[in-house]
Amino acid sequence: MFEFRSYRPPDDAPDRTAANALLASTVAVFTLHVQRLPLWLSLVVAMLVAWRYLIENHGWRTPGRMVRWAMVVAATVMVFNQYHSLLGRDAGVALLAILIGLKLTEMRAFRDYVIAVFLLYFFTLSAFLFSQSPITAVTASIVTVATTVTLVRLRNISVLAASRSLKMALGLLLRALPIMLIMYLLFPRIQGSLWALPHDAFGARTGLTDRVAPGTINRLAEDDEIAFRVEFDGPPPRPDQRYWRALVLSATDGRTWYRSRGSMDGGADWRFRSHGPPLRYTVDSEATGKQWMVALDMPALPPAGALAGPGRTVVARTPIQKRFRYSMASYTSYATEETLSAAVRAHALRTHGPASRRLRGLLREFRARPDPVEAVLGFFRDQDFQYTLTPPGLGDDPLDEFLFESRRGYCEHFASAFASLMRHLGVPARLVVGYQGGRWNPAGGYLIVRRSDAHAWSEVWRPDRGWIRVDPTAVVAPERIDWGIEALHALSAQGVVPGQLGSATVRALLTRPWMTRQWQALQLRWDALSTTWNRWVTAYGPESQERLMRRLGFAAPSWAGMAIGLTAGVTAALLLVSATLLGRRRTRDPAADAYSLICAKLASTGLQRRPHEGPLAFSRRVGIERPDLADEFSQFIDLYIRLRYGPDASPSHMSILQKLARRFRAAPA
Amino acid sequence: MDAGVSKTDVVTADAHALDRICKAINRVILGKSRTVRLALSCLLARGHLLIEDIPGVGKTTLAHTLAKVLGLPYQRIQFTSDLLPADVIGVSIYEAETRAFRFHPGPIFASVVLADEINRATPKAQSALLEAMEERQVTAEGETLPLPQPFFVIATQNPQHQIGTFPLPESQLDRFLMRVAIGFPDAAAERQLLSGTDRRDLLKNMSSEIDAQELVQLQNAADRVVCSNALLDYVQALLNATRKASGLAHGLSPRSGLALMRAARAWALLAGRELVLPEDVQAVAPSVFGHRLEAATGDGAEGSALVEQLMRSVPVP
Repeated sequence: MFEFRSYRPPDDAPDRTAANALLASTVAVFTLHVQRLPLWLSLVVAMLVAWRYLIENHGWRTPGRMVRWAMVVAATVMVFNQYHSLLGRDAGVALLAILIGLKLTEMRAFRDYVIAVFLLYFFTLSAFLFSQSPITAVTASIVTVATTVTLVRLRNISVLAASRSLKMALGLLLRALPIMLIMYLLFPRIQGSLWALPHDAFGARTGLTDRVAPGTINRLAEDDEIAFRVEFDGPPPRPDQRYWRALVLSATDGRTWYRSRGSMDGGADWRFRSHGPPLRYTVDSEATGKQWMVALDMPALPPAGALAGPGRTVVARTPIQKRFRYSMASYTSYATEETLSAAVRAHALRTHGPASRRLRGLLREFRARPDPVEAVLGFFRDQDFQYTLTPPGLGDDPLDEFLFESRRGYCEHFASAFASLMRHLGVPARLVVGYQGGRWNPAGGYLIVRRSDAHAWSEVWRPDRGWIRVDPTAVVAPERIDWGIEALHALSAQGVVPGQLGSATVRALLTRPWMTRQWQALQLRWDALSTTWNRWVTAYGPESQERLMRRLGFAAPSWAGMAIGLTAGVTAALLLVSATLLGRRRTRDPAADAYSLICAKLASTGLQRRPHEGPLAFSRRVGIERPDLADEFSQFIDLYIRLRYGPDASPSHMSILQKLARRFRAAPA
Repeated sequence: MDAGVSKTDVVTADAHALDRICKAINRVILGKSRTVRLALSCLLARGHLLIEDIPGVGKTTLAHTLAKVLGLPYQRIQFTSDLLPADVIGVSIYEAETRAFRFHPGPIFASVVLADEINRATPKAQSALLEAMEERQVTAEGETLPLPQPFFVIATQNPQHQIGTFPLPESQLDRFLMRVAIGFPDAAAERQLLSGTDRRDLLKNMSSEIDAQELVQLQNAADRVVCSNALLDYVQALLNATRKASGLAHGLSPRSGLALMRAARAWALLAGRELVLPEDVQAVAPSVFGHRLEAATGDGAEGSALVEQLMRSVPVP
């Protein structure tokens, strides 16, 4: 009923409420992991928790040594069977999960329960190997509070009301908070293998590839994963200017387009003949596992830390394995100052295989027109070409088949057909792969580009303007460019063929019900929140740490310097916490110290003062239990009482008291 | 030994007087020296005393004996369910000769008032007494009349669960410094009781050991008993523990802490000490806190049992 501060013998098992609290927090911690763990494993752990519940509440027996060993071996084998390894992130966490379950069944003494609690803390921590989203952080915090409540209840204070345990747990965590912050800010964050996640932490990622064949990009059309977010310094560009280039492909085998070796995709000449005002923006890219980076057409210069890739693309120095943020500038209207070397020109004109008869006929028609680009775009516009999310497959001569038979295609069909036709007509052409469009998030003031926004378009060489962008999709399906891929999905769901309706009709068709709009607004708000989180919490890495250190006045901090800073910071925080704790106590009375000393001497002979025993009562008990010490001790106590509880404050008496305590010798009884 | 506790002459004289008083009471109340000391320290601390126990264990006798020994004029009020406030305070009666109302003071105008079976009266009658206890004055017919000095109320009551009782509300219980129980006598005391003379005869023949002036002197001596910081730490720890404990309906008020200090000083004086020890606090705490604490669950846990638990859970600094 009251808060007992007396010491609990460590061999005692905690009482049932504390044990049940432990089981409850085990379940809570598993909620963090359950979606990633295999079903069988969750079931096994649930069974083990239930078993422990029966042990605690219904008198079941704990398993014997043989059973325990058998279970450990079986669990290990099953985990190995699932992951073909016991190492690495996934297998390691699975093994930890099942071992926590097994630990539950074998707990006997107090320390077993405490070990289980600390395993739960560690298990909570391991959730961050998978996700660092705000949801994970909030859930993990709640679970940590629950686990700490269990710890408080285990610590012999289970008689406390639940609200008191919660308060105490929160108090403990609050005191740990400064240390957590110092660790977060100052713990050396070194890029390299030491802190790297196990290799399986970067699972198979899909996204843009550097080989594009018909069907490559429309596979991404359903992929709702976010590719990157962009914040603009000024107003965002118009939808038809939102072309995000990632890769330039100029080699082809007639079906697939891919990157060329050497500098055949275009040199590293970044000069412009003329350009409009620059557009400055910051890209917040999700991990891609690839080196290419997206840049708005046409990037002015690669951002700091990145390299210039072929064909005015931007590449990172190492594959992007974690969220990555960079700022750059682009010109949305431009003319490049580039020279086309003979080799690159020849490469950009290379066609694959002989043209079929009907293709040769078509090419003749095109040549008769003054501008081949306009001629081909007009051909796409006027003939019954259709932009579709589900194009039919193409046979041996994809170009011929697409132009004359199927005439149904996705952006890559149009872009590659266009580039091929240009090459046949003697105009250097290449394929650009990246993203087009994106959704504006008014809540966060940034653009969200998803993998489904992946797009392919063409670039042709004009002697007066350099490489310029030509997007045949914009001719066939202007909705794709003006409204984005999402709108196109919505339209095709209503049976509308793109490119045949006026924009007012499209707008009317795209108006969503109120509920849907609210839901989308909510999703955007959430995305804005998690972006802020990513930016301020997760993105704190080696570079931002270095910036912080510089701002704090430590130029070029070294490993050792940071370790010293960390130690000093943690020590300062601990001192602060303990100072506030100790500050509540009055300064110790020397009489109290002498009393503690003499009590400790008596305790070593087995005569322990009870915590609530007053000095006189204790002296009386000493007189009864150890008559040999009675005189000496009562002499001490008489003086002690006067000094501690009476008005006597004479220093000479105090020194007598201290001497008495020091000289006191108690032989074991 | 030069370090022994030296007692001043005053304390020695006081101790002798207190010793005499205790002995005199113990001759009438057999085998209850601890209860007697508690009751005595309550009066030394200028507190009102509530004696609670089943009928027949000597509640009234103890109250009588205390009044007698202290040499104070006393009045007894038997509380019944038809008792009126006027029966306690007094009443104005029309006198034909003077053609005016004249106030006839009630039994409350005595130094020691024995309020027997206080929980048998209605709350209205109870509150007449309890207001007088707090204010140490009585307002009747628009006139405020002071009560004599010293003024004690020694009330007795039967346990709450007995039939025909009006339990005192917490605020009124708070006016009693202590609540003590008497309990059954041990075998030897009971044998002596059964074989000896009637207690009432003993009471009649009893003489006072001190007078009112000496009593005030003893009360002042109790005030001078020293409380060190270490002891105040302990008392504060006790109060804090009641405020943090989940098993209690509410924590103890600062007034309860003051009451504890007063009682502990008086108890230390009775023990012949000029300073208060944690043991003194522990000795009086069940009586001082017992009627002020209430279990949260309301399962009828005895207040003094709660205090015992409290004592065990708070370490002596």
